[in-house]
Amino acid sequence: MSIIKTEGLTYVYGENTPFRKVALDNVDLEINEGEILGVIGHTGSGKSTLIQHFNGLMKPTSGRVLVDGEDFAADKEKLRAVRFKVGLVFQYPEYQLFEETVYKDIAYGPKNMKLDEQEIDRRVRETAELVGLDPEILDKSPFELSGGQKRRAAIAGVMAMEPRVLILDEPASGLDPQGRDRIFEIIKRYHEEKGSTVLIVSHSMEDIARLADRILVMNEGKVFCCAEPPAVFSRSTELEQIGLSVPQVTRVFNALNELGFGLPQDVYTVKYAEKVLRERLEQES
Amino acid sequence: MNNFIQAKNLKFSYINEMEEPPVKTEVLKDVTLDVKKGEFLAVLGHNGSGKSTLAKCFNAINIPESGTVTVNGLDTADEDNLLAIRKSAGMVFQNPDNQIVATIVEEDVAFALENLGVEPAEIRRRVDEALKTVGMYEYRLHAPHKLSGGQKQRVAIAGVIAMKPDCILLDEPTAMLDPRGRKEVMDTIKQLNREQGVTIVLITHYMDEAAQADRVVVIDEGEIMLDGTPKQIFSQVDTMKNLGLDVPQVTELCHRLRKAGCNLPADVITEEECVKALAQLLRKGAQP
Amino acid sequence: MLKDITLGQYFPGSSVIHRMDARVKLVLTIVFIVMLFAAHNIWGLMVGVAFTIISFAISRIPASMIGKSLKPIIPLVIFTALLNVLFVRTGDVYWQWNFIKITNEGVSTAVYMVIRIVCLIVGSSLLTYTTSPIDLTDAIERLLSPLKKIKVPVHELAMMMTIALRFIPTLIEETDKIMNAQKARGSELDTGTMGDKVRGMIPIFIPLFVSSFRRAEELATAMECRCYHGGEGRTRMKQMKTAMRDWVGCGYTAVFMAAVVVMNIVIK
Repeated sequence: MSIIKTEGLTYVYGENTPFRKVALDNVDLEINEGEILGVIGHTGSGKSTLIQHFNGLMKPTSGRVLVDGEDFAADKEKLRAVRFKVGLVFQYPEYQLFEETVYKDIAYGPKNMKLDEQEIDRRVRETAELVGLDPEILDKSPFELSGGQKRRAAIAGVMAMEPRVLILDEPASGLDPQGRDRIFEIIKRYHEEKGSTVLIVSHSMEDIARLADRILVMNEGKVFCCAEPPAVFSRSTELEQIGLSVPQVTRVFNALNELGFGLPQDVYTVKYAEKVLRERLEQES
Repeated sequence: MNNFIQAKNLKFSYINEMEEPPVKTEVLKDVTLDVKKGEFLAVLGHNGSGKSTLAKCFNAINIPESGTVTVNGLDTADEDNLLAIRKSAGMVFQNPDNQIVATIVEEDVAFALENLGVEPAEIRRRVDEALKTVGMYEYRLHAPHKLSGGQKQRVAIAGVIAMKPDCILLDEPTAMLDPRGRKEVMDTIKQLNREQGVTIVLITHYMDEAAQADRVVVIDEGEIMLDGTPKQIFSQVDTMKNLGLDVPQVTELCHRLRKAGCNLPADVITEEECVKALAQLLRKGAQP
Repeated sequence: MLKDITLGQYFPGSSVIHRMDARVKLVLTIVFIVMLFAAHNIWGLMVGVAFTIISFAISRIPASMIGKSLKPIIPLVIFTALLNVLFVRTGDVYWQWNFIKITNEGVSTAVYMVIRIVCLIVGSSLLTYTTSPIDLTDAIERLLSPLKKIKVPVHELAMMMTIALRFIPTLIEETDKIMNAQKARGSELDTGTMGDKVRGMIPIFIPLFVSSFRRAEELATAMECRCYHGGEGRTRMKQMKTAMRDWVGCGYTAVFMAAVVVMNIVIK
């Protein structure tokens, strides 16, 4: 069952100007309910434009976007409802914090949904716990928090709306390795607890490879491929040709295969690489 | 003496005057570090470890609370040395948007030279040269806000190298860039280091960038924890992980296989080394 | 899209007027304004009109741009014209109804005013069309530099203008991003009463202020790192040099100015 579906989705910037640019070119796509989909593509590949169509921030030049089987583009009421159904966390979300307290900031989305006080309170506290913000932090000003805490508070603000689809644009950018791991753990936990669909946009194949059930690769406004990670990474040379960097281990395995070792071509995590090599060594000895 | 930057028992705290009484946060505790002339040094550490603060001590933006920092023999605490220090140790920051001053690329590159009162003809010559070095000459008349992140950072680097500094301090210059931009910036840095002998101090939390340096320093809670070649540092996989840092994937792979009893070198940090070591291992495995 | 707004009105080109020294252009524009107000009769004004048209033709700025620069001031022009028609009560009466009296002098004053305003706007927009904002800022700084002697912070003002020009597109883009982020959290920016709209702006303005302060702080540090220490001892890469074309421009303007004076004297 697909939660988001696009049909011939096309978006053109600056139509009728010299700066005309096709950002999305006839995109047909189905996103399954409950999956984690990694979205990859270099800057200008159309991935940011694509995700902003999913919650109606952008309107297709032609083609349709269906969320939960419904085309919401024409109906203002539905457009608002879709914002709550599809939650979007932008890159560097900490720059959107504005309330006096962290509590109020996380409550901003739920409040706009016109939920009652009790429900709002439940959601704020639950999400704060989920992202690892202590209850005493909730009464602080968001501007007093550390960089990592700010990021988590901002993500909590969208998670508290409990959207059926959560989209995160580069959720870990600018963070150190520990902060990065933490963010991905939170996303994984949210996915497990709420069972919602999650889309993660990232430049980092390593990060995507760890989490995603399927990977969507965008290139020049078109879908390059959309498949499970092994199938995507087995095309690593093509990925490098379109300017994407594949994980280091994938490159190492490609090099080993060029030397004629005949190893699997779909290796993209350290763990999997270790497993493959150990099995191979055991077999031989 | 070929130490370009010398920090001796450097201590630095931020004081938040907004609070009553003012709150003092100690960021650097007793740091002693030398940076050699022509060296490519990477400084690793997680957010809040004090690595950016350290970089700002190297060009007299931060003045030590106690201890001394000298740059090219000049004490950073002496006001009269300010311009000379900043001229010889230029700095590039994380956010490309917040360090470009002018509305035209070449005007921005000229900014530092204009401040230093260099002759107009000489400015012109050096600006063109700097833009060519970073490969942005064809963009000299563009508006900075229309460039990509990597291009903006290269303009910022050009603005620094136009001063003909002996050293460039880069504070997470690639943190906000995509892989393509990161590569552009890293290539530029390495080229400056190799071809022009510019001393590089690169603050980063990308392990693969640090692996390309001559020397890596790991800083944690305002203290230097590790100091050595990339091989020496990254081979300490468990220590790095405890410090909240990472190691390159290839290092981790070899580390895991070693733990499982495979005969592999401990100091694999590049893909080529990894391929070579694994190939050897697999071949040996094939001959009982 | 907000970020598509181009800043200022600069219309790049390579005409003689584009290449003229910005300082000269600035001064000549002021002379032109004086010329418009010095003209006392329709012939003098026609000289001004001719000057405007010829200059525009030389600059090769498309005529459609004239319309673009005039559009915002149409209400003002109509208002001024009406005011003059209705309130100048001397001269021969054309038409009268109750207290409304339209006279020939009223009509001619109105026509003069309209021509003056239109020429003024079109002429000065020619300056902004042919001069990039940064050149204009430079020209202002250099023309005003004698004022430094009486402690006017000319350099600082010019620096502020440059930085403002540099950051306006960045901040526009940022506003766009913040608006989208808050919309994604369900804020209603475009619906509701006036009060709702004002409240709806808070989630935009606060993050924008916070980020502007952060940017300002980072920029200040970056400028310090690049040896900025005020205007003292500063040189400039681009030297403003007057060339033959600038003197030709001056001569050309002087001829028209003289023509206006002649018209004033000859035709009473």
